[in-house]
Amino acid sequence: MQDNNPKTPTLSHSRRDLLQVAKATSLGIAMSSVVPSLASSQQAQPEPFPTAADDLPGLNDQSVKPVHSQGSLRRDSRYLVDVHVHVGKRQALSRLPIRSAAQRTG
Amino acid sequence: VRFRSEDPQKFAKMFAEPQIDNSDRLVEIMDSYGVTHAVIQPVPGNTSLDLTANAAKKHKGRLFPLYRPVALMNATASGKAMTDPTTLAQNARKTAEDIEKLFPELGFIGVGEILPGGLVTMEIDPGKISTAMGPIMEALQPKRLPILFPTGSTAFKGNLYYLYNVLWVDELAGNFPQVPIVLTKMGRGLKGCFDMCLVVAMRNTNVFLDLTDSTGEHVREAIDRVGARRVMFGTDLIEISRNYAYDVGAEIVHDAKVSKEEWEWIAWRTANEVFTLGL
Repeated sequence: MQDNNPKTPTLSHSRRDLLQVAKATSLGIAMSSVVPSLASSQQAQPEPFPTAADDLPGLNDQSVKPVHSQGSLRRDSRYLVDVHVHVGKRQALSRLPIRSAAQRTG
Repeated sequence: VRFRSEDPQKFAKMFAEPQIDNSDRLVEIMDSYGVTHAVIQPVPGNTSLDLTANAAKKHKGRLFPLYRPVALMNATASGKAMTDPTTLAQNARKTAEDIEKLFPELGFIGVGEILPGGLVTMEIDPGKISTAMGPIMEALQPKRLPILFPTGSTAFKGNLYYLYNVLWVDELAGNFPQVPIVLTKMGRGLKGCFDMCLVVAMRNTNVFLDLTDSTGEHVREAIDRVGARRVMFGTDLIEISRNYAYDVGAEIVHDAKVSKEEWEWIAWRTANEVFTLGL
C-alpha cells in the first residue's frame, strides 16, 4: 500500500534505510577484548511473593477471558516467570477490537 | 502486521500517542493464570523508561524492568532507522552510559529487545556488528547483565536481516562470553530462523532462548539439543495480546511435552539465573 504521508512508515522507506548498509562505513570502534569473569551482580532481593494465587481477584476487564483455571498454566512449578512482557498502552489500542489467538500476527 | 498494512496512518498515529501505565491490568492477567513474576520492557513509540521503572516499583518483587534505548524505540515506531555513522557511534556510547548510570538509578536489570541495526551500526558483517556493539557489551559484562535480541519477524519495519539471520549473534556471544544473551522468540516458529537460533545456542553457553510465539516442536528440539536450562517461558504479553498471550504460551508448553524437571527450569529457574531475580 502506497502512502504519501511522510510521517507514515512505508516499506520503501524501510528498504531504503537498509540499503544504507552498503554505504555505511565502519565505525572504527576498537574491538572489545574478552574480559575475565568478574564478580556477578546481585540485585536487591525482591520482597517475598505471596505464595497463594488462589484468592486473587478476578479481572476487572471482562473482555479478557481467563480460560485456564488459576495455576494450570503454572503446572505446579514453584514459580512461573514470564520473561517477555511489554508495559505501556495507548488509548488508541483500547478502541481496537479484542483479538484472539487466531488473529495474532506479530 | 495486518493492522499496519490496512491502515498505516492510523498505525503511525497510534504509536505517536503518549503511553499509559497498564501494569495493574497486566498483573491481573498474570494472576489469573498463576504467573508469579514478569520481566517487563517498554514498547516502541513515545517510549518512557520512567513508566517501565515505575511500574516495576509499584509491583516490586513481581515485575523486573529492562531498559531499551529511547532513540531506538522511537525510530522503530516511526519506521526510520538511524543510519548516520556519527549518530550510531553516539548511540553506542549513550547506551553504555545509561547502563552504568541509569541502571542503578532506575533499577533496570538488563537490556530489553534491541537490534544493532539502526542503533549502533548498519553493517551486516558479524565481526563489524560485534565491534559496534562493543561499548554496550563491555558495560554489561562486569555485572553479567543480560541483553535480549528479538528473532524471527516483527510488525515493525527495518532490521529484518538482523531479526531473521541470527548468525551474527555467534560472533558477539563468543567475544563477550560473560554476558547472557537471550534470543527472544527463538525464531518465532520460522524453521530457518529457529535453526540459526539453535546453532548459535549450541555453540555459546551464554546464549538462552525464550519460547515466546514458538512452537511445541521447536521447544522440544531446543530442550533436546541444549537443555531446558537454556530455555525460558515468555509470552509477549502486551495490551493487544492480553486476550490470548497465556493461552498460546500454554499450548506451546503442552505441545513440547516437557517433563516436570524440564518445566521447573523453563518456568523459572533459568530466568532466575539469567536475570538474577533472587527467587
